[in-house]
Amino acid sequence: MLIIKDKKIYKDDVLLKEIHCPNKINQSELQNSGKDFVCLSCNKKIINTDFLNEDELVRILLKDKNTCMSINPLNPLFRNT
Amino acid sequence: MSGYRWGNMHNLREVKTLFDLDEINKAQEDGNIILFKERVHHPSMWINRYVFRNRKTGKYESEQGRGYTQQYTCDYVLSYSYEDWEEVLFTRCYLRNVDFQYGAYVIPGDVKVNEKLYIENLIEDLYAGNFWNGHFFSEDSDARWDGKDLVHDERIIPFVG
Repeated sequence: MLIIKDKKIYKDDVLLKEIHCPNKINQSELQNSGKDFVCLSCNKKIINTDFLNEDELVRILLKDKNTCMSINPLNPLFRNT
Repeated sequence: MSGYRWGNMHNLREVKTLFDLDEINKAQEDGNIILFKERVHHPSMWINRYVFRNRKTGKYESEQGRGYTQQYTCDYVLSYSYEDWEEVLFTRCYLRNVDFQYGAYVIPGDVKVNEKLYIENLIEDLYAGNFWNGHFFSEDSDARWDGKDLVHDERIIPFVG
């Protein structure tokens, strides 16, 4: 279980990532690219976390905490507090 | 098929929900604003429900469909094949089952126009969204007071960042 608190993602109290977009992009401004998305504003790849399990997600964020992602708050992988 | 609680993430002032008229009258006497709301079924909250019967064993099972889309692979998994399972019944079930049809929100009397408030127990049926094969309704909500009504936050959009 990953905890989302104040738009920050934690695993066992370790901060993995802050959910922040300087361009304030929302879902409608993303283009589908296979399972993931491409941001129409900055052309970056946005990982769709619906297709990741917890280990995969943690591994990606430990490697690069600035990875852009789309997070469905209804995904049971996450808990909003 | 269940409720989802977002929580009071922004530490907003809370709106109480009451159903008992004596309590509602008391809350009004105490200087609060009373806002009655009725439940209206949300079109996205009707879910398919089938009853299947195994052609060999006669066993009954109930599901949302003959198959589902598997997470990660996106493959369609057929759980109840036409060959092995006959459809006994198809109906539509409503996602949220509660024992009230209306209620009242108790809004602090000193609320300011455009102030955001937190409703811990929603009266209205508010669709929260879906995740793969699961559908969810909101149990709580942030809402803005526009001077006459509470306008709920749209929260089904995923976080991006």
